[in-house]
Formats: sequence, C-alpha cells, structure tokens
Amino acid sequence: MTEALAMLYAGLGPALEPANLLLCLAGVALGTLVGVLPGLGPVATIALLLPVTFALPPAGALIMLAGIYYGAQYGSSTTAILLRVPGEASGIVTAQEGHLLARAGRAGPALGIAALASLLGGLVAAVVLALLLAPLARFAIAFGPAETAALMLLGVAAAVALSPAPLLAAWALAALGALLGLVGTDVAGGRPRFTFGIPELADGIGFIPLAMGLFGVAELIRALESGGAARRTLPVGSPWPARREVAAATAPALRGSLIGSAIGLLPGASTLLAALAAQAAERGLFRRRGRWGQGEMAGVAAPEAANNAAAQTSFAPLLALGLPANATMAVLAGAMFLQGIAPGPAVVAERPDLVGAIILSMLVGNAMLVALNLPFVGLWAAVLRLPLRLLAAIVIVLSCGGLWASSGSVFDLWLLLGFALLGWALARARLDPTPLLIGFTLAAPFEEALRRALVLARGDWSVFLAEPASAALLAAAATVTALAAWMRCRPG
Amino acid sequence: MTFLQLIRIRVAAAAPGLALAAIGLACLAVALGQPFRLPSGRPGPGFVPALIAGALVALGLLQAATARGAPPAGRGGARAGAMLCLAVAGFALLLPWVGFLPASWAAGSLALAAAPGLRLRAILAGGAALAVAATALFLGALGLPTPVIGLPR
Repeated sequence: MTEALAMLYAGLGPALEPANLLLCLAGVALGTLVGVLPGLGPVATIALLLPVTFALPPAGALIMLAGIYYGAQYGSSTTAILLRVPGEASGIVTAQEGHLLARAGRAGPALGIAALASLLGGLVAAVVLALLLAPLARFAIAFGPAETAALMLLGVAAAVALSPAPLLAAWALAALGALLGLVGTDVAGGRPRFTFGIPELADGIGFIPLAMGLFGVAELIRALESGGAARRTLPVGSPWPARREVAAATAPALRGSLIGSAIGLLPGASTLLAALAAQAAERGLFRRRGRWGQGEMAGVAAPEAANNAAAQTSFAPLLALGLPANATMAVLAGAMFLQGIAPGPAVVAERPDLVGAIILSMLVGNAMLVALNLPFVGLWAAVLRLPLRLLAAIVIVLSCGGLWASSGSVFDLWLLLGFALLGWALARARLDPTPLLIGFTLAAPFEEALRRALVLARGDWSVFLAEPASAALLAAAATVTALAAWMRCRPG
Repeated sequence: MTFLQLIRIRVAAAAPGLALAAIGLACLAVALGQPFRLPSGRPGPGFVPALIAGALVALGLLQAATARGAPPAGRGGARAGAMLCLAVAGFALLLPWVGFLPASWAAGSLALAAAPGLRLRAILAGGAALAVAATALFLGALGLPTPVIGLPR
C-alpha cells in the first residue's frame, strides 16, 4: 500500500504537467475517434502513431498511447450501440443489448450508461494496477534467466491460445515473428544474422515499419475490403440516463470492473474476453430479473466496465513482468523500447515517476473521456458518416510521412510495404498476426535469457525443470496450449 | 466433388503451412551457417535461430498436414489492398527523386482510389489537398529537412 502511494506521489508531478495533460486529452480523443470508427482499432492507431512518439518525452508518449487504448474501448460503445457494429472487438458484446436499447429509443441513456460504467471500470482498474504493480515486480525481479525464458514462453503460449488462428499456425507465426526479431547483429558474438549484406538490417528490423505494416495498413485494407461506406445511425437523443437506470446499472458495472480488472492481469487476455466474461456473469446471475434479449442496461454496463478495466490492468504484465499481454501491449512495449526503456520489473523499481504518471493519467483520462463522450455523443455519432476511403488516404499519407520523419530511411518505407503485404496475405488466409508481433517483441530478450540460463547450467537443459518457478511456468504454458488445443478440437 | 477438386482444396488448405515451413527451412539453412557454439563454450549466434527455425519447419509441416478444408478467403476483391500497397510503394519510390510533395500526392491519390466510385479528377484533387496538408505539417510545422520538390541536397 505504502509502495503504491509512493509510486503515485512520484508520478503526480509528471501526470499533472500541462503538456502531459494535453497529450492525455489528445490520446483519449483519438482513442474515442478510432473506437467509434469501425476499421481502425487501437493497435493500428498506436502502431501508426509510433513515429510521433519519437519527438515526445517517455511519460508523455506513454500517457498518450495508453489513452488511445482505453479511449478506444469508450468509443467502441458508440458504434456498437448505434449501429450494432463494434468499432473495437470488445464492442461486439455491448452491441447485443445496447443496440436493442437504441432501437427502443433509449440510445442516449445507453451511451450515457456505457460512459459512466467505463469510468467506474477505469477507476477500479487504476487502483488495482497501483496496488499490484510493486508486488508483481518484486516477484519477477527475483527471477533468474531460466524463469525469465519460461515466463516469455508462457506469454507466447497465452497469445497463441487466444488467437483465432489454428493452433499450429499461430505457433508457427510466433516462431516467424521471433526469427524476424533476431535479424541484425548478434549482441553476444557481434556477428550479423539474416542481414544478407544489407547494411540497414544490421540494427535489426525496425519495430515501427513492422507494426505499422502488419496492423496499420493491413487493417485499413481489411476494413476497405469489407465495405467502407458511411452508415446511417439510429437517433441518439439526450445521453443522460434516468436516476433509476444509473442505480440499476451500478452493481453490474462494479462487478464488470472487478471481472475486467482480474482478466486484464492474465497474459494473453483481451478486452473482448473481459467483456464476454462480465456479460456471461450478469446473464448467469440475473437472467430472470432483467430484460435480456429485449434491451437490458446491465448488458451495457457490465461489458463496458469490464473492457475498460481490462485495457488498463493489461499494463500490469507489461510493466511488472515485461510481458505484453496482447497486440496493443506488444506495440506499447515497442514504444517503450523506442524511448530507451525496457519494460519489466526494473521499470517499476527504478522509474516510479513514469509508472505512477501512467496510472494517474488513467484516472485523469477516464474523467476526460466522460467529459468528451457524454456532451458530445452526437458529434461522435456524426464521425461515422466520414467515408473510410478518405480516412484511409489520410492515414496512408500521414503514416508514410511519419515513418520518413522518424527514421529518414527509404528502406524502412520498403519494409512498411513488405509488412503491409504480409499483413494483407495473413488477413486473406484468416490468420491473426498477433502471435507474430509478440514473437518479434520477445525474441531478443528470450534469446538472451535462454543463452544465459544454459551458460549458467553449463549447457544442461534440465535447468528449466530443476528450478521450481521455471518448471511451474513451463507447465502453465503446456496447460494453456493443451487447453487451447482441446477447445479447438471440441465439436461445435 | 471430383478428385481433382479435392486435391485443389487440400493444396489450398495446406498452402499457408507449407509456406511457413519453406520460410523456416530457408532460415534454418542460414542459421546453420552461423557458429552453433562460441569458442568460450557459450551458445553461438546460430544457436537460438536454428532452434526456432527448426520449430517453424516442424510447425509449418504439421499445420499443412492437419489443415482441413481451404480457409475461407477474405471478403472483397484485391483493389483496396493493391491500391494501398501501391500508395506506400509510390511514396517510397518517388520521395528520393522528386521530393515530399509529389510523393505525398501520389500516395494520397492512390489511396483515395482504393475504393471504387470516385472520378479521376476528384481523386487527383483530393490527393493534392492531402499532399499540401501533409507537406505543411511535416515540412512546415515540424521542420522535416526534406525538399518539397526535387532531389535532396
């Protein structure tokens, strides 16, 4: 508790700096925008904005990028409720009951409840994050190289298990990502690997062109291919819910916040999983009490609180263990590396000001989101009329210009094209690129940990089973993989 | 369903796995050309890449062998993908030769042509507006040291 308070105190100054408050506002506004627009999710947006973060200080960059992630969860509810089309994956759960409410003329109050529930989810998650980060980091800092390697394997196993791709294909993509992550000069021997005599590859494949191509450009292609026409929305009306609606939605939102906060802590977990679990819990507990299937406010409050809470607590595995829980966190890990900060327990111990500022910015950002979403809900709904073609053109020109501005390398532009083509091919084959990105992010630290573990054990591989923590983590990775295989083989 | 059709479906289903295995094989060949162990006895630069490439070959082949039915292809034609990729390629190709503004104009126009229904004149005008805005942002406001038009110094 004292550690949490000390961390928050250290972060108070940077979080309340006017420049960082502005970046927080920019992040949550942009997050809401991309959450509202079906076709450009937070992963793509954060990936596309990576060049911008070069010019920002670490705290400001991470505050803005975090704002995009949880802001997108807010924005997604607008599209889900008004169109029954999720702007972000987790919105699909809100869409079920939320759109029925909109069709019954309660779109405004449903959007209002979504915003207030998200606020509650965000506040609960920020508290959970503050309380858990220091103990988690203390636990992880005691890890030796064998445990670190096993932990990374567990992270990849979790990402693979939750990928919609076939299990073997997802593992293969993670391996491909790891190989891409090993391109460049070997840190131990100083020899170039997989560079084929190309000097630009000596420092490895740039994270920005990879993330921008694989997620940013490829996601735009996918959105345009699935029809990017402007859509008609249902009328919104006043977003202020009645007092009895707020009272009825408070308990589901609180339960959703707790469920979402817990799920966000798991490696590989997603905001969609959190929203699904929260809605399933509400339906299971109160099926007879509500108006499920006809427009139930709890069906909006619980998943909205859960997805926002999970988005925020998913920072815990990244900041305390150095383990990106999902694609967005992998891109954020890349942003941290670009700022010269290696995510992991050392960040929590050595940079409490940075971690505290991120957590406090979540409190501020959530309040900003309510202020942005409730009075201006009509404006966000109007954004849906923006043609996707125009959005795609703006994004492409800004991405190319941004990448050129950050790296000054035409080679990186060709890499961007290569990864856009790869992302497009994966989308055509219905393969999710998340395991590839996570494999890429973890490759270098995994190699270092594996080599160090083997050196310390004089080449004896049994070290991974001899250390109890390492054996437990490997067993967890095997269990997660076996469960995922069983789920995929189950009929229906 | 004829035997030929069955074979075709099988090949289409196995294609992603086979492609991944082929990439793995190529990486394995390159990794095996690197020292597996350093003179100090530490694992060499080829050690981990060879392990992962070997795993990729095995996983790709297993995926190809167990794939059932062709994966349903993504919706829509290839226009959006082709035009957006051409937009990036156009920017990369033109930037070092003609400068930022024409490269952005080409990229913006090609990207605007990604979806059908817009006339050529509108596409070019929209692309020009985007190029001017991007040039004002990157070169004007952010001071990017790149010529607006022409070869870099």
